[in-house]
Amino acid sequence: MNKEYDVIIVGSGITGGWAAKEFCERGFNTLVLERGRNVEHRGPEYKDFQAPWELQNRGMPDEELADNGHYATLRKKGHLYKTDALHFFVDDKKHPYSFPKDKPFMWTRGYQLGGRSLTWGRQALRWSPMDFQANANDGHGIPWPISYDDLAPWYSYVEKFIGVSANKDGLETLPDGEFQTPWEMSYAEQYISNNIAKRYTDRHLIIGRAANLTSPSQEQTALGRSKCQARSYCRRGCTFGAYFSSQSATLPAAQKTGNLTVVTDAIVERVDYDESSKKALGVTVIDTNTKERRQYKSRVVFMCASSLGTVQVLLNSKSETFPNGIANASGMLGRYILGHVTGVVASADVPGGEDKFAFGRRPIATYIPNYRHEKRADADFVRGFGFQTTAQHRSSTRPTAKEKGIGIIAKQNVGQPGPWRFRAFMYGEVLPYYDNVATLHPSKKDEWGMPLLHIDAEIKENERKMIKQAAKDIEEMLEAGGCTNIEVAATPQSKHIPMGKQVHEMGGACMGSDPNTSVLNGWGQAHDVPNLFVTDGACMASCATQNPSLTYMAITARAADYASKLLQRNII
Amino acid sequence: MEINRRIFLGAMLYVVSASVLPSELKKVLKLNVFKSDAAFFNADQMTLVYDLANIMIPTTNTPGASDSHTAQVLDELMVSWASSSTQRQFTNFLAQFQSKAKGANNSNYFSLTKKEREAFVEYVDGNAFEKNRNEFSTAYKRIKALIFHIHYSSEEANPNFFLVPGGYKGNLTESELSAIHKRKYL
Repeated sequence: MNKEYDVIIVGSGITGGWAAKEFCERGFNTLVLERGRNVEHRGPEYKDFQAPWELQNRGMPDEELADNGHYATLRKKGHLYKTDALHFFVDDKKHPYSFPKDKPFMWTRGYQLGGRSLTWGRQALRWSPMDFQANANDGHGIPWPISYDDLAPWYSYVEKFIGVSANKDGLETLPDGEFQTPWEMSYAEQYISNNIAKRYTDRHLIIGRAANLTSPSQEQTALGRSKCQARSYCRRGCTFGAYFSSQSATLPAAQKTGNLTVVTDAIVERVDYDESSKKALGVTVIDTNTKERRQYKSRVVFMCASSLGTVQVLLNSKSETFPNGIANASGMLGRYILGHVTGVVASADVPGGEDKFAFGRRPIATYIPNYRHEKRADADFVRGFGFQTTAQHRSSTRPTAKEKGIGIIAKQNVGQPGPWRFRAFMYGEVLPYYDNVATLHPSKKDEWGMPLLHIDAEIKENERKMIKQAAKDIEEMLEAGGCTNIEVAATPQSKHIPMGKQVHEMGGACMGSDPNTSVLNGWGQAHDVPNLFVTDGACMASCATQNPSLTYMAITARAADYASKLLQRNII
Repeated sequence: MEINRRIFLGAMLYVVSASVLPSELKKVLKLNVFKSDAAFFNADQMTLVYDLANIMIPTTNTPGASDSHTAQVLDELMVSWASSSTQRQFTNFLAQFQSKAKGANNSNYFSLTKKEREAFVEYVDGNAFEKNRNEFSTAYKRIKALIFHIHYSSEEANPNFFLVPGGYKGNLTESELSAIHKRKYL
């Protein structure tokens, strides 16, 4: 096999797929390295055509897995621990990581071709100009070297390709984009949305923005993608290709060019550095099955291995110039680990609608975007939070074996239509903290000899204050929304909230203008190594409140365009 | 491990062919007797699980546990899903259940009339959710949870399930929803 390429892309997930597409379409000989196995689009691993009664063990993972300590992180998350898509998540017993005992970190991973693009939440939200300004404005973290305006055309570029179904809401806090037909709100969601609009000018309940096709373009159809069928089985693998993933969209687009080589089962151990040219030479990989090492060379290396995966590889890429990891002259590699925090869950009845029902499984929730960008009179914290919300179906009485009751009466009580019940989950921005850090464990290694990543990160006082305010705010909003029976549960101030629970881990190789305080410049290019780029979540200097994948994709497409021009001019 | 369809169908046949009791007695007892061992449970255990499931979720104007083959699916799950500790817990529970039934009724559970068996299961159910927890009530609640899960995730219990709904509508009248269910597409 050829071992020299124009571009090596480490990781095949949501950003790796994008980098592959962009470089291949520009004519570069491109290698994508994936540490996990191959997963065929529409192959046998897709379980989206299984009815509940057809799922392996009716959806329940083999009990021996839990008894033997497998999937500890996923089991804590609960809803993902099912046989419909368990095979798309990593068992942390086989792939361990480390954290301080008093600061458990929940790292949800997907080691297979397509990575977590097969299981992502598909909420495709732009960041606002205020989000990119936040670090500079309040002094937390490293100021972003790019603005919303730098990214705006790339957001559009990405949205047109992936397909985002959304409404043009005209909000400053959540800029509109290139949208397909939005999903409709339920009776209850519309009711609350209308009432909130009457009361507030800065708070809005909108339909979510889903990376699920509702009116496919010619380009999307040509890739074999079709309209979403409202099954909401996205993370089982989408046979219709309506749900955006590397498998459904970017990798086929890259494959079409003839410039793509994909190698799976190859764990990138390190980025190799050439002391004389002061550039990355390529990478060393460990074969997952044989554990043999081999090297691939390239003119450019793009790190798209997920935030923490990328940090782990970079920290492990030691050389004479970079004894603490490649591109780490600043000592900032691994610092500013970010993520979202939820500490408030609320629910409430929506009056009326006794004669209203819903049909289908909409693949997206509703959303209340962050309305607290700037410190307000009633806030003792900085930044803000939004809410992921839903009342897509009217509630009905569920069978419960957890209460007394059997026989005809218990059975008759099942499936009776109940009130419309609205639910809201806070998503808060964790500030960039210098001491939220990922390092390599000094002694523990995995079975392939890679040092374990040790993640030492926690939420702090600012986030605790946010949680308090979010609880007050959502109660007020639900009242304004016309709801009754409002229940708000806030995580007690003394209770530990693990970082990583919302999956959106970011940071660790932050962008910044100053090479002394950041790892990457505004193009995702390492300050210290000009042909090394990081465009996954590791590059993020702050985490805002929006789901981040769309921003990763836009950053990746922009960086690939920039790197392509440098390659064409032989600058790198 | 996938549910083994061959064994599953085999277990169904046992129910259909069960005829070890005189027909007059069967009318009173209304008990489906398994005469052969299933994949995990032996014939007696299978008879008991089947009866428990049907008492918990009887057939009415909608399908019950017997229609959804809940006992047979549970038997298969004991092989494909249950850990050895769950297997022990459930077999111990079934033995204890028989023993308690005999103690309470002065008669073998299988010899009780349908009404007597229902009354006994209701008694066990009521006790299980009292504050005093013990091994027996814990095991009962687990079996009940599984029986409910199996039945309510079955095809029979979900006649309006659409694998491919084709779209989402969030503001339908009952008659509009019924029409969709009837025509089987959006």
